[in-house]
Amino acid sequence: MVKSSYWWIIPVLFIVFGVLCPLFNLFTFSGGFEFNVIKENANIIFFTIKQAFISSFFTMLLGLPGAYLVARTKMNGFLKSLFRVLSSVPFVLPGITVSMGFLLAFGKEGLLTKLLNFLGYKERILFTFTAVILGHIFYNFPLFIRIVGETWEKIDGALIEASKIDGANNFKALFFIEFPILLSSILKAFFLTYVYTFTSFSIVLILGGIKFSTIEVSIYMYTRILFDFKSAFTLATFQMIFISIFAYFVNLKKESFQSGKVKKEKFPKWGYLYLILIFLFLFVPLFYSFFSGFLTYGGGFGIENFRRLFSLKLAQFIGTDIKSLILYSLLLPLLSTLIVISIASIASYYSVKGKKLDYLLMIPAAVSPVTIAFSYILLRISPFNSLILVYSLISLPIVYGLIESGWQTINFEVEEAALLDGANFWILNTKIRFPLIKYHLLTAIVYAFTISLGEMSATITISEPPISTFSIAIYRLLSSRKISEARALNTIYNLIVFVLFGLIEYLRNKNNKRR
Amino acid sequence: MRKMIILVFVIFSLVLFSNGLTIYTYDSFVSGIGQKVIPVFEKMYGCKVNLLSFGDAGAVLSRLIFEKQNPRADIIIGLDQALLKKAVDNGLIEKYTPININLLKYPEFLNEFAVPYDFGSIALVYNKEKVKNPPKSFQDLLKSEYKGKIVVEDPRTSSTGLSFLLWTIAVYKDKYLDFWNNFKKNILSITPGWDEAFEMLESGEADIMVSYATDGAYSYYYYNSVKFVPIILSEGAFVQVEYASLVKNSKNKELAKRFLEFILMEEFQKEIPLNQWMFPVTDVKLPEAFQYVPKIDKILEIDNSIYGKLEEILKEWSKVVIGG
Repeated sequence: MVKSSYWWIIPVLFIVFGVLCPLFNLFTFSGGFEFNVIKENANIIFFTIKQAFISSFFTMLLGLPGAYLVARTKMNGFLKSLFRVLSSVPFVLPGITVSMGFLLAFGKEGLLTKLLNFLGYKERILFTFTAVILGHIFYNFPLFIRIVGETWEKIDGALIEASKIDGANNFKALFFIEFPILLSSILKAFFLTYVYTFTSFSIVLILGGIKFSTIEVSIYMYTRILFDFKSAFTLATFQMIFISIFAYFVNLKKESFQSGKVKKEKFPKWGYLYLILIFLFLFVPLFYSFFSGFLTYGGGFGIENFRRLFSLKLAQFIGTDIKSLILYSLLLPLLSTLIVISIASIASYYSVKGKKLDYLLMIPAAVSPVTIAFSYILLRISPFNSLILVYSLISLPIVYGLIESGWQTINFEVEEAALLDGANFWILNTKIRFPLIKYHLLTAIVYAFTISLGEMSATITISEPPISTFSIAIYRLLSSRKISEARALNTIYNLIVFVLFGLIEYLRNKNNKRR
Repeated sequence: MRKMIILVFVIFSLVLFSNGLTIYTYDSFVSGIGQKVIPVFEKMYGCKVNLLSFGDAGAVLSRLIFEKQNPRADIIIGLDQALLKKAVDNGLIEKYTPININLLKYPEFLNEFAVPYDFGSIALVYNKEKVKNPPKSFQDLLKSEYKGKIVVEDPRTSSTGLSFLLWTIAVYKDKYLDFWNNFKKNILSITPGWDEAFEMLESGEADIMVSYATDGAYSYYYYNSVKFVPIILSEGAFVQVEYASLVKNSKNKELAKRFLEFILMEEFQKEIPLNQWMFPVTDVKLPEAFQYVPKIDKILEIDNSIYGKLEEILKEWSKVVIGG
């Protein structure tokens, strides 16, 4: 078997020293547990648990058909690329951009409101529970397309063929052959969605109107308005333990995977209806948020915001010059991407081999970045190191999920064969293991990079000159009421994200053609 | 030997001096008024000022609490009444009254722990193209014609929202929950912060939002038009006063005290209106744009003890408004 089998200790140490120890220190600093807080927030806790479940359920319901279409059907190449790029983007966009897109699309003058009215549906969607669910689906949809879809594409078509020879119809093959193999990927995507909707903050507040509130809102209140850190960290710890326990139980033993070339079916008729629905309800808000940079003060449309942005003395807002802004906006995300990819690759490799690590690696998703930031401040870790650590941590859960679903598609017999042929550790990794999961890896890299680049709350809490990043510039513009300029800059950020995801798609198509 | 001691002392004080003054403040101070006034002070005293920000004023205060054992900042700028109370209760700041305090035009802002540097009133801002008959009083806000048209910030996450809640307490005293109970039917949404509320006003989703009295002046100055008009309700204004304080165990106390005096000087105060979009606290000329700021006829006071009961108040508020 694999020789150096103690590598899994690295991700464990990373979580223990990167999150658990600093948080424990913070916890003792703020005075331990405050049990009353759990009781007082019982309603909010209950609502949080419930809404996350409903949100994840519907995200799955909409995500799975998408994953199927992308992976198992002969979808038009351009349409497929477009769908894949668009569905990947929302996840890395800041909450305010997303809710802005929704406000415009479902608002009084919004395209979707008009469409719904035209179809005879007059109820308002904004400021209802439906809006919250839609917002959450929009955000977490890519988890299913990416994690489940990429794995699905690797299921050996022969397996399905064989089942058909044995008399199974399409439906039976799907349920009894493919789903069991996909189950652990589906659970992973479901679980990640659950965690991200559990800790949702601005979508619930902005789109839900006045009736809804989550644990994260209470944590924010205790830290930022009341300065009652004891209550805040009791809730944060509760959240963390809850998520960890959940992660421990949804982590299934993996089915043995038979990897090969997937069988592609004809693109089904319902697929068109599905795509139309997705484009309308999920991508129209995305277009709105993308184009919000062109909405000028008072409601016009034009490039005025960009003119304002470029005529600003930007140095004033970023606290340093443009050169260091670009340097740090690239350097910090790149370094953290390197770290998170290494950590997640090791961890997920061992997880696929049967080591239970999920409940540890999901912890960062259950702690808000600001809490981690404060725990580093308390330990007086330098801003540069803190930021790299925070970025690696916040992208760890999704990167882990992506790479793990990659490892799952590998037939590990290949490894053993290679070892028999005398391959050393280096060759095994560079020639055998990693090339097999290169798309998973590439996707994970882009997610790690864009999540780091877009992180705002911890970045603001930690950084000081000369460190300044893109997201600080956006925040500073917003806080100085330079809304128009902030929107323009945000549109530029969206553009970068689109280009990066477009690039993966391009590389992938190019490679596929060559084959 | 003695020469040595003197030499060491000189070097030591040089090191101290070259360390300069460290000021913690909120972000918009750094990118706004800070750019104007800090160079003036540096020139005045031949020193270096290190102006740092970590988000909004609440975030900066949290930072100070975490660094209490070994403070790095000499001065904190940006505490409003509620935050100032927290800072005092946590033993983070030191009493100091600048020698030029007599320049202060409003004795009601005096506080032995802090120097006020600007103030402004919370207001309701409405879209004049859509609201033909704007509310004039809190009672008006309850009218059914505004149903689903008003957006407010969440007091649990936004200082603007908290100030608005305090305004209702200043008006209705211990009956404020009755007001909210009636008012909530008119609220379209509660946003986490000011930005989102503004987005909703601008996109035409909401017609009225909770904001600041200087909004009209701001939009006149930057966009030459006043589409969103501020109103101060007739019951009286609730003003947010912003303070600067000396951090306890500051390493550079003397220079810090000079800065707190500098805050009341004309060089600092004259920059307040067009950078902070607040009113200066001393007698300086106001720019033309400020004619769009509604007059403050009456300033409402709330009992200082209210600031100590915020937790209870927020809990009661969420019970009534959110229902949980």
